[in-house]
Amino acid sequence: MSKLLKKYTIFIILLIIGFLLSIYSAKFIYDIKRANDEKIERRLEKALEKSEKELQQDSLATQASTNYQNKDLYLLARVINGEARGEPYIGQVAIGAVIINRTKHPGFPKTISGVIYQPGAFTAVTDGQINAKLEPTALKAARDALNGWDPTNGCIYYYNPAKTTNKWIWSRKVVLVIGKHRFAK
Amino acid sequence: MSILGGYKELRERLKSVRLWSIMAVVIGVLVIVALWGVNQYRGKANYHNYLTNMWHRAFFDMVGYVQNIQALLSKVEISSDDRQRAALYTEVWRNAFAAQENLGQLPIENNVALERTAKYLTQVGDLSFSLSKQLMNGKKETKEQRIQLAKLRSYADKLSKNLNELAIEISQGKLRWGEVRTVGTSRFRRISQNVTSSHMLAVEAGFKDYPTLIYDGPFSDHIARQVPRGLPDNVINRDEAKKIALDFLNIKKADMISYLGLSGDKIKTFNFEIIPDRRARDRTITVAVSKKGGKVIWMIDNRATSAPKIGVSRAKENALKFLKSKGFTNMIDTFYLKQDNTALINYIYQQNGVKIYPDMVKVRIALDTGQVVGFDATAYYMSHTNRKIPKPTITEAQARKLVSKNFDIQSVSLSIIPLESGREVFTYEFMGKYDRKYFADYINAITGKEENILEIIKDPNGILSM
Repeated sequence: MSKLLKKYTIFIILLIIGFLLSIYSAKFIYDIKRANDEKIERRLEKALEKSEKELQQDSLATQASTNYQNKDLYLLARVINGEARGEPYIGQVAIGAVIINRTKHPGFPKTISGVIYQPGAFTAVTDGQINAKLEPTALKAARDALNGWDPTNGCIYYYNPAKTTNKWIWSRKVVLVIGKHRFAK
Repeated sequence: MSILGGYKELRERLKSVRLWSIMAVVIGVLVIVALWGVNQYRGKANYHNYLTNMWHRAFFDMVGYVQNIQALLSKVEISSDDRQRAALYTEVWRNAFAAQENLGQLPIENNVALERTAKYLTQVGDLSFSLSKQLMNGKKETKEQRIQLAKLRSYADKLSKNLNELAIEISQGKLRWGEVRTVGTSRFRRISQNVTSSHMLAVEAGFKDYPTLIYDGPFSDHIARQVPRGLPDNVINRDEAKKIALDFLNIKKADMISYLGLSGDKIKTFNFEIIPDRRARDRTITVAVSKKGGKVIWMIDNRATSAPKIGVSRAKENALKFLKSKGFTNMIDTFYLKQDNTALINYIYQQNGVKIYPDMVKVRIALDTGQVVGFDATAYYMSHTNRKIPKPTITEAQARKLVSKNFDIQSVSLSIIPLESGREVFTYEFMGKYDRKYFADYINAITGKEENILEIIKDPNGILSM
């Protein structure tokens, strides 16, 4: 009898260890993936910096370099990336433009971060898609939007009719459709 | 097999030690899982409490700020001292700003549906700020402005009352903020959430016949209603627009042209997406052509640019040539920015040597081929018109005296600049240095008032203003 029990205690202990290990390894894999995303992003930044360095030959006489970089650029790029990966380029610029239009609209927060982090405003922020791998086109689209290109002509809403659960949004006047998204005022 | 037989057999089985031990293993695993689950649940509850506390803070702060707005607006109506009122207005502005900030942090389903409440808070602050500036310039409020303020105060009363009721219910624990994420829709969760939403929507409904507010500020309602001054009067159709778009790009025949639709409110445009080469499908050029006047309003070519072969000075030459060929005369370049192997250059119109900043056209030049890959003339077509520029009533020497003594002036020119409210003012532009930084100081050429100060940032990647 006791022999049998002994045999099984090992089995039980192994099972417990296995169970705990599987939890930790899942977390570990997740962490690796996160780190990898960050690495790719750093590489992307480096590549961009490099191309800008090559251009310094015709730089103008400056005092200390201010190294101007819009603080909101990456945040905006991440939201575009999370909301509109795989959408046509112009659709990505349009998402960025909607965010910027909101900052200028009296009914929304006044800053890009305020608009993006308004609870429930963007699905990509709510479900963590904002941390997905950043595609270079999203960064480019964010720059175009920050520089004032607005394919939506002043829209402050957009939604994907196939995915939205929000009844209220259907009452807004749709102005144009780009890819899967409807843009509305 | 009879039930009894089954039962007997089960008893037989139970005697076997092997089964006992297997059951022990199963129960052991279950206990571990249960412990893990409890731990997870605790963590989640902690987070939820933490978030709920943040939301409560934001909400109660907001209620406080709205009460302040209401009290301050009442004081404004009673006060007869201009300086006192100017101070009260800035207080309203501060409180309205803070209230709006906190409102934007509340987790309300369809948060966007609180647009009206947010708009009210923005405009109350914005209008107060512009009135405070008006008083500082020695101009009393007009009768219309007083009527407007009284209306806004009545809304503050209503809003304050609604929010107070809500605050009491929340303090008594009758209401809870919703879950962070609504995954699935268990009945209970939906009920507890909709309570907050519906209350907030009731608050929102209080702004039903909210008036249109026109005043001298960036969030005034007239901003959304501006009409383009720079477009010709003729109206074109879709086919003509397509031809204009292709002419603009100097493309004889594109492989694919798709029509994206007619959109826009200030400027209605026909939008086209053009794929110039079937083999490179990801390169698209998007062009918007105005229905009124048939002008290209903006264009984006998303070609990925490779390593630069030309410098900014060459890019500027190309951009100016391009603008001339499209009929933009008297344009001069101002700020520029290098990014993604392209140079983005801002051009402004010049009339008899006066810089017209509102009439701006942005041109993006690819630094590998020197071609134009971006164009945006929205600002230009919104504001460009043949202006009657008056003679300055203040001489340059007088204006110079109005600039701060610390400021080392390097160049002066006459310019028309846009204010945040969309108004244009005629000014002397003094460019110069202070403490090794560059600034542009704008002195009104008629009144001598300092209208704006910009910091000019120069670095290897461009010159831009803040």
